[in-house]
Amino acid sequence: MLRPPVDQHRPEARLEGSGFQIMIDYNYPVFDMTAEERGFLDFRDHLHVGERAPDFPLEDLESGATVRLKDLWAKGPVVIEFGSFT
Amino acid sequence: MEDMADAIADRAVRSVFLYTREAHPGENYRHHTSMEVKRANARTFREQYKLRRPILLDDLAGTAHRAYGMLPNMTWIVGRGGQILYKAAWTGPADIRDALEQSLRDLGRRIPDQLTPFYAERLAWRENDPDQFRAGLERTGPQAVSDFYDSQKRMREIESERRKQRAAAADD
Repeated sequence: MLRPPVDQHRPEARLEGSGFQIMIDYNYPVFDMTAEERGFLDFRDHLHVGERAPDFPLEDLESGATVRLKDLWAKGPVVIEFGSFT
Repeated sequence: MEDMADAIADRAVRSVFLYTREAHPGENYRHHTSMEVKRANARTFREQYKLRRPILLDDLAGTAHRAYGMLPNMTWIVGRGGQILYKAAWTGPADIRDALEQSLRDLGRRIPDQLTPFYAERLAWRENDPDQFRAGLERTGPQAVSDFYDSQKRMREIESERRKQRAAAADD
């Protein structure tokens, strides 16, 4: 599991500790770009082409069913775009 | 991306949208305090952009998002069996299409032409309209607007400080 970047302006936003704390810190109420640079380095330096993609369960918005990432690439390639409305 | 996804669906390539935390939360579209809020935002997203691709929600802690690098709009291509074929910090439909076509061609040639894979990095480009981006922040709410421009200003101050420090160190 990757360690997310440490935000200089919110040093308490280290994702160690309880699952509840992780949830609070991950879903930030205030956007802060100053964490972005370390975030980019984390993205760049971990998990590369040629390596195995990690598998996780996800919730299908339409049906509510659980879908595993590995089921998406079981029969062929899959393009995964990450994002949000905002 | 929807048009790109349609074009590649013919080639038996799946396309999905993995829904993460809100990148720029604000008054009208808030940070997720529950899965219900997350689902509601994802539905609005689907309706506003007329998404046809399946939308898959990560858990509230962002477990999958964090494992894949936690950037706000990455695109990854994973090949059959789970091998990572492409990873990009942002989403550029033209670049994705190009990479995918090349991958499919090479996978087809692998055995007959004795191809062997190798690691490579490449700079990619995407269209970026600052007015459209700002309009998106405004739609989210005044807090989303001020958080973004305030932190951009802070970022410039930090970079300016760094340049001064580097210049001072060079003089020693």
